[in-house]
Amino acid sequence: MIRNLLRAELMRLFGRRFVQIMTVLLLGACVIAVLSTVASSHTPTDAELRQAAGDAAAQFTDMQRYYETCVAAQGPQGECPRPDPAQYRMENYLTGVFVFANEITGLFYFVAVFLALFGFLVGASFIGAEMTSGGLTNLLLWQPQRPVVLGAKLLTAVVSVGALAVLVIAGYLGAFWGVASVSGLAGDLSGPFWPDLFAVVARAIAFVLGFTVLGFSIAVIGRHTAAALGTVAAYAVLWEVGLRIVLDTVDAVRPDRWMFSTYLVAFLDGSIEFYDGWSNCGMYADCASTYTVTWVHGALAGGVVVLVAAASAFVLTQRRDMA
Amino acid sequence: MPPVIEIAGLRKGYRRLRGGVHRALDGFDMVVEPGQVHGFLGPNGSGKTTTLRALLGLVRADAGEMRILGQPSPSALPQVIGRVGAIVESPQFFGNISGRRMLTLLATAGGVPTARVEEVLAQVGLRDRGKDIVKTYSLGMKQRLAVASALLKAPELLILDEPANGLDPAGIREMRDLVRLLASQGVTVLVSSHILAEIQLICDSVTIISRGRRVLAGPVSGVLASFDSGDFRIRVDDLPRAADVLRADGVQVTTGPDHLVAHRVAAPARLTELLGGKGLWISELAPLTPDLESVFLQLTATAPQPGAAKQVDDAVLPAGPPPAPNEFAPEVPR
Ligand SMILES: Nc1ncnc2c1ncn2[C@@H]1O[C@H](COP(=O)(O)OP(=O)(O)OP(=O)(O)O)[C@@H](O)[C@H]1O
Ligand SMILES: [Mg+2]
Repeated sequence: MIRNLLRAELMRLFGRRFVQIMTVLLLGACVIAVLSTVASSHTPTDAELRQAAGDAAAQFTDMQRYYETCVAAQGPQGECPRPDPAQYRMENYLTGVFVFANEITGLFYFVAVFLALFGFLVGASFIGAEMTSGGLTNLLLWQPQRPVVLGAKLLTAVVSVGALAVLVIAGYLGAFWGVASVSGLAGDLSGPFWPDLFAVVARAIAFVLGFTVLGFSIAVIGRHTAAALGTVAAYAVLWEVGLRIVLDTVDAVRPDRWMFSTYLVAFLDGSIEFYDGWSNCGMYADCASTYTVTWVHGALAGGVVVLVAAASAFVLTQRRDMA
Repeated sequence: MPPVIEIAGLRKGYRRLRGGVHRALDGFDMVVEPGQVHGFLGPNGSGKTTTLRALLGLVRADAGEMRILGQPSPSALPQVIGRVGAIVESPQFFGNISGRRMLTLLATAGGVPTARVEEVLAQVGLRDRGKDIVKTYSLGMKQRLAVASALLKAPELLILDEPANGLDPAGIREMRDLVRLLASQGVTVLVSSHILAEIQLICDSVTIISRGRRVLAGPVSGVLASFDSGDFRIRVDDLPRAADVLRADGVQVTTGPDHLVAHRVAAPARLTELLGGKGLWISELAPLTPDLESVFLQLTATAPQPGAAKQVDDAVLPAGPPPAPNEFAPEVPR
């Protein structure tokens, strides 16, 4: 029975015009991102490579010299910025050349956010449309256990969006790798590059699934797809904008920690640092005037929001009248 | 065999927008025996659909007991739902798929072999339109699709809430034939309808509900017989003389423009004897049996009256059980 239900839901999900259109839009956006990179990148000529290598070496020598002068003046305890040779790599001095290692993380955030939006809308509309049309009531005449019906739908949405996200991300990264090897450069892939990228990808998938569950749950609570969109819009206007203005006016301490967006960015990016206007440094005190929100905080905040929304959706569905 | 549906003391209140509770069901009882075609009648807003929704676990009743196919509802509904086909008040389908696909999805979800889809489509006359998008169906076609979805499970108990809604004359007749066919195969059918002539034709027994309470229940023939006042219509050439003759014998008579009505006649043959004896030859002698419609209007007091627009909740409120203690604050069911 459960397996049949899942199969039917899967057929239903991909039979939805909205999901099909959204999928096409998603793939279209990825293709545009890749194509625009292709259009603005070329394989560097030998002359360009030589030029860039020369520029990098010259710049590094300059900085090294500056550092040495600085140390000579201030002594080894002085605050002299020691140049990092990793920053003076030849590919950083090329123009119009796509360098995979330097650019992929930024490009990846784009697709991660797009996938999250996709998950949110698909999750919300998948259940919302059936709540407004009465299709859900109809289904309950076949399977009266509401948590099972709702769970099958949620599972279908999460697994489908998750599978699609993995495929899209793999294709997206693969395409840029292809661009780099055909008309660009791979760049510095040593050290923590791959582990870091995989960590970002893993968190992005969790991010996308979280938004899928959230969209689904709010639509259930509000009995309508539009409830999900409305809640996000209301939150953005009232809280992120309105409350921020209020907090600014009253000079609240660390206002950004009250914003959900902070935790989202921190979760996706790994961490986010804020200037802490209120850390009171004495004249000679060595104090940090910033504070950091890490992805762990992000995971906690996001997890709580998603869990509360999902639990409310299930409890409400169990209790209320379906007409 | 135990009854297929047993409902006792069912209560359901809806909160009004401005406080207070609207009692949609107020101690309602119903029994449907196996193999019956049972009519479920009541004025608009009397609680028919609410009863069916509660029985099928779609809304939570505030009080009362329900059994369906011998099992308590809604607690044991998952065990029996596979044997119950139901449409509840013009079911909505989400519209962007074909009728055939819609049924296939339901069949898949319910573990019914998909071959059954073609059978039921043909049965409701949609075989050639099954590929069309549901949204483009006419009202009657949607209703037929709904009936098809209820038939998918080859149910033992079929619950049809106003199945004739929007059907054309041929559709109504097909529905009648379908119900009779299913009944002959041993399916129990509970059908709510406002087309009382139709109910009278297809039902073995009826329950009449008014303002959330049962007014009457029993076999159709018994109901009609109990409302039979023994009236006969008589046509003869000389109406005034015939009336005098009958009155002289103690028969109560009212005179119509072209006929007489004799009331509470125990032996109709006596009428022929009386009139024939006076040389008055009867051209027509017909019993005036009540139909379900007149019984319904009388029982629910919803017959239209000249110069007064009857409102939906003007129906009679039958004497019922004393109000439940939680009457004004229905517990939120868990
Ligand atoms: N969701 C709801 N919220 C509030 N009141 C409701 C709700 N559903 C039904 N009611 C009320 O309950 C009463 C019974 O409604 P129900 O739909 O059961 O009537 P019905 O007998 O099916 O009528 P009809 O013949 O018009 O279909 C009506 O007065 C209606 O207004
Ligand atoms: Mg109704």
